[in-house]
Amino acid sequence: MVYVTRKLHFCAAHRLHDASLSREENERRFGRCANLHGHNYLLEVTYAGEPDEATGMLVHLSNLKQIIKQRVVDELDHKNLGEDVPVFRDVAPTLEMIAKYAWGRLDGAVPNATLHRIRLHQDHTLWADYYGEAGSGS
Amino acid sequence: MMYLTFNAAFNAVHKLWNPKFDAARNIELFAECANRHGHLYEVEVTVGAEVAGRRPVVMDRAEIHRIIDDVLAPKLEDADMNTAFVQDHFMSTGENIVREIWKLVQPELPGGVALAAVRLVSTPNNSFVYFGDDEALACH
Repeated sequence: MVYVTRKLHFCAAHRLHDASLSREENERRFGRCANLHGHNYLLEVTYAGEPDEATGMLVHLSNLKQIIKQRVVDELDHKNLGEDVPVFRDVAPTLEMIAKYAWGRLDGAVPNATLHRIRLHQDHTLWADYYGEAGSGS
Repeated sequence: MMYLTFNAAFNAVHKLWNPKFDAARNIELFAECANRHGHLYEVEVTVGAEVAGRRPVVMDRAEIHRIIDDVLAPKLEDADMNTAFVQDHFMSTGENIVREIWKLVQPELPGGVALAAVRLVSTPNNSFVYFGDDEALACH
């Protein structure tokens, strides 16, 4: 088993906000993040599997870049997540839920490779890791 | 399980010294680390919880700031690692410090949030990770 990780960046705006809560309660829970603001997100996508015998590759890296770009980055880049991306009208566009969204978009997207981990960095002080419903990363 | 990692950095001083040994033996064991010196220690805390629409975060960001500002910083900022946790005979190695940080953070987490890992980076070349006693979590 070998693991291949591809990184891509995107920039987006969001705010952490629960419409069922008061403004004060939103600010208590989410602090400054309750205001609209933006991040340069760094997305790391890791697939696992056995390399193809003929090519020696698990996945062609430029194909992998295109898959991630089309399925995730193009959907989110330079968007106001809570308004421009339909799925985040009902689900808060937190770092965690964006990571889970990326998992759903990329799981099964690469033939003969298994999606192992989505790591999404909001900045250099905070990141989320998701290994899927069943995964604890072991 | 969704995992969230946050980090913070603290300046602190320490030396490696076992008072049971004489100076010659300490210097033999710990070399230059037997002299008082400092690091900008980076602490990475990984927490885990299930997330879904009604609970879209592993942990509220205000709680993360509370852990950093009210739990970690008072112990670690400008601290002497040899006395910050235990007054006597604390060997302030990365291995021991990372487990003390686990003990500090674990009881402060909100309900339903599991501590998955604590990582301590003492220099760009040296780091230490502790997953508690549950080796099944040793995944990062």
